[in-house]
Amino acid sequence: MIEAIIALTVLAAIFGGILGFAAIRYRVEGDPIADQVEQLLPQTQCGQCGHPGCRPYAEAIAKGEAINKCPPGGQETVEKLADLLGVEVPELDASAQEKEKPKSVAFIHEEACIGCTKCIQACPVDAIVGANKQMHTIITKECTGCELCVAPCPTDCIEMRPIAQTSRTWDWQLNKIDIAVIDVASESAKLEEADNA
Amino acid sequence: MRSWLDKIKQGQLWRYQGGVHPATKKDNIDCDKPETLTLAKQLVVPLQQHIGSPAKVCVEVGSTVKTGQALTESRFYQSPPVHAPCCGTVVAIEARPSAHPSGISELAVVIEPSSIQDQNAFMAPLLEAELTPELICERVHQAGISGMGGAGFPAALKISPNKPLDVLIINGAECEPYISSDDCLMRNYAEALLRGVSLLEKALSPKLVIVAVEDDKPEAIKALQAAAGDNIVVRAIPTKYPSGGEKQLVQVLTGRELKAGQLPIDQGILVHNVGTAYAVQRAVDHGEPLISRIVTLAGDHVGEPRNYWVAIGTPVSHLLEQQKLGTHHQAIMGGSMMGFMLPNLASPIVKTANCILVNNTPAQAQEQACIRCGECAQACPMGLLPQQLYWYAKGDDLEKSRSYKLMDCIECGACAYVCPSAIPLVQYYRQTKAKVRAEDLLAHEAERAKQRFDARKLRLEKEQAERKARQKQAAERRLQQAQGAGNDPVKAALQRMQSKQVEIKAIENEQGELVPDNSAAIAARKARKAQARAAKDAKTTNTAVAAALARAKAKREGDNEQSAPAKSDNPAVAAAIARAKAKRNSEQPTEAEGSKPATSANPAVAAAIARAKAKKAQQTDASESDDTAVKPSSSSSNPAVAAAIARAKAKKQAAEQPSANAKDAAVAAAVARAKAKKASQSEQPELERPENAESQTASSANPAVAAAIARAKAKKAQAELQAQDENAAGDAKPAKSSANPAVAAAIARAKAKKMAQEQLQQAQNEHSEDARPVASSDSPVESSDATSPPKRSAAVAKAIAAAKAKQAAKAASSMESDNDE
Repeated sequence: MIEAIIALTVLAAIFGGILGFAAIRYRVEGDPIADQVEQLLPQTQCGQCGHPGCRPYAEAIAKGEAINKCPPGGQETVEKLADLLGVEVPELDASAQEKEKPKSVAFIHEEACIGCTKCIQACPVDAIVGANKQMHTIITKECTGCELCVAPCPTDCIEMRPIAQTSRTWDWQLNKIDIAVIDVASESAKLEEADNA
Repeated sequence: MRSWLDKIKQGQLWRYQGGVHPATKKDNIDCDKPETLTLAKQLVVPLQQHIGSPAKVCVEVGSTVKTGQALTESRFYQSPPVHAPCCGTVVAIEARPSAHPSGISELAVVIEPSSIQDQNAFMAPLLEAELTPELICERVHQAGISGMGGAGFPAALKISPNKPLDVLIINGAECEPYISSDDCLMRNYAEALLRGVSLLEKALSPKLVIVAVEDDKPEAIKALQAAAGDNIVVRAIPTKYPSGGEKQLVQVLTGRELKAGQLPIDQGILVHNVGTAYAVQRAVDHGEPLISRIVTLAGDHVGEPRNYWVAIGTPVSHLLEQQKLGTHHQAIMGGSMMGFMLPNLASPIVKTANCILVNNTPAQAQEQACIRCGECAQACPMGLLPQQLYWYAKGDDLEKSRSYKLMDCIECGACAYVCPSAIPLVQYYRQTKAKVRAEDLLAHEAERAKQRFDARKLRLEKEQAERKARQKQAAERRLQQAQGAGNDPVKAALQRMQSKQVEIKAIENEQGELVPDNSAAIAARKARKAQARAAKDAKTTNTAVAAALARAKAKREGDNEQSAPAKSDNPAVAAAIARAKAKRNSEQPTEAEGSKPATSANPAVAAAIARAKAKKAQQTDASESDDTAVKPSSSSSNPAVAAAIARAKAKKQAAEQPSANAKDAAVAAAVARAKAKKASQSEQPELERPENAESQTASSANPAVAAAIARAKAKKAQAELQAQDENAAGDAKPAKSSANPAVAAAIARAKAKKMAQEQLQQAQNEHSEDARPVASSDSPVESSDATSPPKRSAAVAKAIAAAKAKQAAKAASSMESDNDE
């Protein structure tokens, strides 16, 4: 009886020690859920969710905020987030749905630009080139389409333009193309029939 | 055990899993020497006909081009240039329908061929002796050669020597039904082709070179074997679709299977198309860039299926016309297995287009449910599971599609070919692949955006930290300074402020509201006022002020229409009084002129006009008056005093001049008006109103102006009177006791003048727009005068004052010399 108790106590002490060591030694810094959520967010840094960037929203989601507030991500992102967090898939937030639109990039009407640099300060990804009293322009490749530069422009010279589709980004449509599958057997049969006739 | 290379050399062949045997349909295609297609009316050369990025356009709309002239240029091997396929004129550089299943318009150079095709801009052929791998690479790039087999990988990128190469495979398998362009090339241009192969060999120095041809092309094999030397192995491989695929061919010839995402070069193997080899030969030996290729025209509707040499950029419709095929037909670019329906027959032939098929529109077999027969898995040459991929493609499950290696699908179509349910599997895969690519692109963009966002955040934080550091540094510096000097300047200032600051107390007013207790502040203000007044009193001991006061007094006397004899025995005061009198006298001519007959009723106005006139006259006639100055009475021993008297006299003279000269009078009047206007604008009307009531009634010709003048003058007079009243009657006396009254008078005059000037200048600065129209409406001479003094700034005013002082000095000296004479 006593031996058993001693043995169990010793075992408990050993395992407790190992676990305690592991808890300190292999401690995970930060919030892994927030990291995973951030991976799924579109990183437009647009702030349409009400948070100043994607990372803060990811952290908020990790703490239990609604997952349907990301218009740039759309329903797909909501589904992915629901999948990750193991929750029911909610509809995209109504206000977010309104905002959902084709992916666009900002475009500066350069003749109207007065070089105030307000849009440059607003751009979260440094995708606007320009200097004080110099014309500004968008680096289209880097623009995330967050629209944060549109409002601060005093001359309203920034416009959101949908990205034109190119042959590289073209979505193959089933009905658009047609591979002629040659049915050799039936064709030769047809030919034979024709010959016979 | 034989080595791997030996096995290959001895002709051992391997097998790959899967593959199908469709009818080749090549028997009736004419593979004799291909006919060169006539030039179309317009050639559309797309800028991008390869995998990579388009090069930069180096021609302009309207420029004439020669055959083989480069239309684009780039240093980078991933952007091979395109060339003009003929002589002609560039008529447009615009988006044209591309040779792509989407038919989306892409940037292209449109060339209209000229009638005479006799000029070319080929590069100089490279000599055998000077051939180096780098030179060949560069030439291949310059010639714009990209893979001719279908994918269009830039050839120069592929042959730039970077990794050790064991086997170079020249792909002449051409496994797809109908296509026979490579067959045609091998049959008719075997020697040139093999020369190209040896050039590639030179560039890459592989251990073994194999030209692989499917065994259904015996003529091609025969021709090649006849032309091939010892170092090139011509190998016939069994006919099976898709042996022409790179990975399959590598496996058949070397037995090595490429892993997912692996390129042949990673295994020491490189595959080039026979067409590429031929193009290399043309580029090196003839300097001819890639401007045409052999294209097979075949299909059910083609009466004489055959091969053509087609210039790159020729519209497909032009090719169809050769066989009297109208545009109502639908054409397929590429073979029947992997080709695509062209949405637009205006699409051009590009470097990768090996075949144009004009078939019956296939009766769309009804797509049926997948029966899980597994035929497709048997047929797949990549060893994938097509039926699983089909499920995931239908369910849009990109993750699962990925894990089932959808991206390794070569889209050969073998699965669709064998499918008993007639499911167009490849289409599903293509669609899903596009989605996966789009997802990857988004992920990549998101990653990039995140990087940039983080970089920006970091930068902003850094900037803020720097700013803080600077502030801290400055604070430290101040502290050090304070310690060094014994007191901190900022702290001292703060203390001063605090000592000055009175505690703000709230008191209740009669309404019971809490209001700040300002009594202390009021007291402080009063104290300041008292201080200021004391200072003023002290100043009045100054003769300058005394002179001014005297002048004011004199003016007042003028107001009272008194003769005002100079009672003062102070010469300065006397001089001032004299000047004032002179001014007063000048009002007579003004009146005589009749412009303002009633001004005399308001002596202040008259005085102002007179002063203005006098000043103006003095300005215009300064030198003259100084020179012609009446010899001073010389009673004064001080020349300065004499000068002042002389000037006063001159002024008087000048004042009298206007009466004689109507023009000058008008000028003077306008100046006065401008001044008055300024005064009226700068001064508050409600203060003046009671006083100018009189003047308003008096002025008749120009009541508004007169009123303004009156107001201004009255105000001035009042101010001066006030000053005098405040300073009490005894104030004038200290002036009398001045040691050098003459000098004092001069100083006073100078000061007064300066003040007047500043006032004038201010008036011009602030109200020039108002003054100008008034002036110009009266007299053109005036307008130029009113605006001409460019007294824009205090600096200018100072300069003028200095000039005046100089003038005075000059007058004095001249007077002195006059005296001497």
